[in-house]
Amino acid sequence: MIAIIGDPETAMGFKLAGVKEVYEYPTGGEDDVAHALDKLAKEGVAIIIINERLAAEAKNREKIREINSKKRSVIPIIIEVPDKKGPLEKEVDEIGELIKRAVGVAVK
Amino acid sequence: MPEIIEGVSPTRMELLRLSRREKLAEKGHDLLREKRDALIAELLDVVSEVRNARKEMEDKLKEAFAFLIFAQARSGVEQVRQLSLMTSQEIELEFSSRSIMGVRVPSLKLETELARKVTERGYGFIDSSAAVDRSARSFEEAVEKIIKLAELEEAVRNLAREVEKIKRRVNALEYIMIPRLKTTRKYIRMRLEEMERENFTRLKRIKAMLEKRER
Repeated sequence: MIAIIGDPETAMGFKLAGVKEVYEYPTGGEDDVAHALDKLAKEGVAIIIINERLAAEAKNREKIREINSKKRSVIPIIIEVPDKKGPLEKEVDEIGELIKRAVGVAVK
Repeated sequence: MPEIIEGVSPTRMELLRLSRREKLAEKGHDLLREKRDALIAELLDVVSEVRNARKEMEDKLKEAFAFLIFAQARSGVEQVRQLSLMTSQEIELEFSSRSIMGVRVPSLKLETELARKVTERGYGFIDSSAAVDRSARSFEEAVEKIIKLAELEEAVRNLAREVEKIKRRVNALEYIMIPRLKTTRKYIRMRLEEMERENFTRLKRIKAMLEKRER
């Protein structure tokens, strides 16, 4: 199963694609997103798609990290996608950081 | 100089046991090192794939949003929202995990094609427009790409975690365990030799004393 957490536009777009589990949140809102993440993780959703901008908020970032460190199997996979304004300039490149830690050198 | 393992008595038994342990540790160290190298090679392979997949996904999504905004401008935001409520479909994912050298890596497969024909989306032709169709289509394609990317990113994450773990183990063996075993073994050997020498002199001395008495 796939779920989306995103701003109204993203939500609408993915709804058009036929995704059923759509959670709509304005950016910069309250703490609902973390709750939604928790709930979806417990329900055993396979892929959680979340807007980069939402994921970048401190509370949600924390939550994602928590879910990732707690999970025992391979699901849920949380994946961040850009919103209509395009991809965020990231201060930390997650994948690059992982590689650097594992291999010892940065890989482009 | 690494410290010796505590609580060993300098006996021959202990010496034998230690050299067995050392051999085992060295074998394990070699194996782990090989595994680490293989995993790193695997990891580096996947990384470029991930980067490409992410780029593709971002491009597709950008296109999809452009179409969506266009559709909203043509038909009105409310209209598109209503249409979007009618289009839900069952997305069936076949979920399994395969293993790369003992690392569990997800493998996701869509059971049905996500991209649908216009007639299959479930909204009427009168309310919708070509722009809505196009935007729905690109979002469907975007979801497919996202699923692919999710699989790859998760693979990278798991591989990287495993490499880190193995690296720590290799280092622990190489820099702590094996040197410790080596020095302990050396210590016991020296103690044993010393004891032998002591014994030898003692015997010599006794022999000399006995000879003196006999005379």
